[in-house]
Amino acid sequence: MDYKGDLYFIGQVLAGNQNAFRHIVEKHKDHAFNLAIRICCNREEAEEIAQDAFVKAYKSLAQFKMKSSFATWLYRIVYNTSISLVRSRKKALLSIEDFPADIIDFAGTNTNDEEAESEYRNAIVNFALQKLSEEERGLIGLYYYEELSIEEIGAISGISKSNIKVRLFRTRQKMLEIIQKVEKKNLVYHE
Amino acid sequence: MNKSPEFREDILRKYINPEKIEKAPEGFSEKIMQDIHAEKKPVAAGVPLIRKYMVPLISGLITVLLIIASILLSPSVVDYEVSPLIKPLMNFRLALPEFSFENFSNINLPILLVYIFPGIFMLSIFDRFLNSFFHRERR
Repeated sequence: MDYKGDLYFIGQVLAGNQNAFRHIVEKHKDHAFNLAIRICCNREEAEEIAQDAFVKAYKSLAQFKMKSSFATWLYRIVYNTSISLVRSRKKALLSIEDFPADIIDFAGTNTNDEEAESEYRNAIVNFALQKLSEEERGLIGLYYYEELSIEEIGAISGISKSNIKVRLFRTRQKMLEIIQKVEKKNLVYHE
Repeated sequence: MNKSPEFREDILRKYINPEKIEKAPEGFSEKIMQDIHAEKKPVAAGVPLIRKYMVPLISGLITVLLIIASILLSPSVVDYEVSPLIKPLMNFRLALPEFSFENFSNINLPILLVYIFPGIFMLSIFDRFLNSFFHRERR
C-alpha cells in the first residue's frame, strides 16, 4: 500500500482536481471489487458495491483523518456496504449437491493441468465461501486474499483482535469441512 | 480433523491463492469518474475560526481580566471608589509565603521584572492547560 502516493492524490482532489481521483480508483479498484465479490458472491452486486464505495469515499474525502491508510479506510466502506447489502437480501442456502461435479472436466477443457487444478480449487473455494455467513466471508477475503494483518482487519471490520482470531479459526474449520465434503463427492462421481 | 490450527491454515492456503483476485470489470473507473464529475467537489474541512483561536482567545481574556483586576484592586482605588465591592476580596488572603524585596536591594533591575517573569510563567502554565483541554480529541 503506497501511503504517500494516496496522500498526494487525496491532496490534489481536495485542492479541486477531480481527475486526480482516477489514480486512486485505478490503484484500489481490483482489491475493492475483490473484497465486495468475496462477501456478496455476485459480480453485478460487487461492481455496484465497489462503485458506491468509491463515490462514498470521494464525497467524504475531507473527513478522512489519515489515522489509517487510505486502503484501510476504503476497505472499511466496502466491507460495511457489502455486509449491509447481503443482510438486506434473502439468503439462498446451498447444499453440497449444488456444487457441479463435472467442474473439473470443464476446467480442464482449454487449459493445462496446472491451470485446470487452480481453477478447480478456486471453484471449490468460491462454493465453500457461499456457504459461510457474510461476516465470515469478509474475514476470509481480508485475511487470505488481501493478506491483511489481524490489526488491519480489526480496523476495517470493527471486531476485536481476539474475536477475529476465534472467528477465523472457526471459519477455517468450516471451510475445510465443506471442501472435504465436495472433494469426497467429486471422487465418488469420477470413480 | 484434530490437527493444529496452523496445519489447517496451511491446507486452506493451498486452496486460496491471493494472486487470483477477481478483477474489476472493464470501464469500472470510467463509470466512477462519471459519477464523481456529477458530484460536488469535496472541500477540505476547515476548522471554525472561533475554535481555531479558542486557546489564545481565552488566554487573552484571562490576562485582560487579571490586568483589570490588578488595577481595580490597587490600594488607592479601593480606598476611594469601589471599596464596598472590592473590600471583601481584599480581606481574602492567600496563604502564600511572604516575599521580601530587600534581598534584591543590591540589584539594579526594574522592579517590574519581578512581576513580569512570574506572570509569564503562570500564564504559560495556564496556556498549556487550556491547550491540552481543548485539543484532547486530536490525540
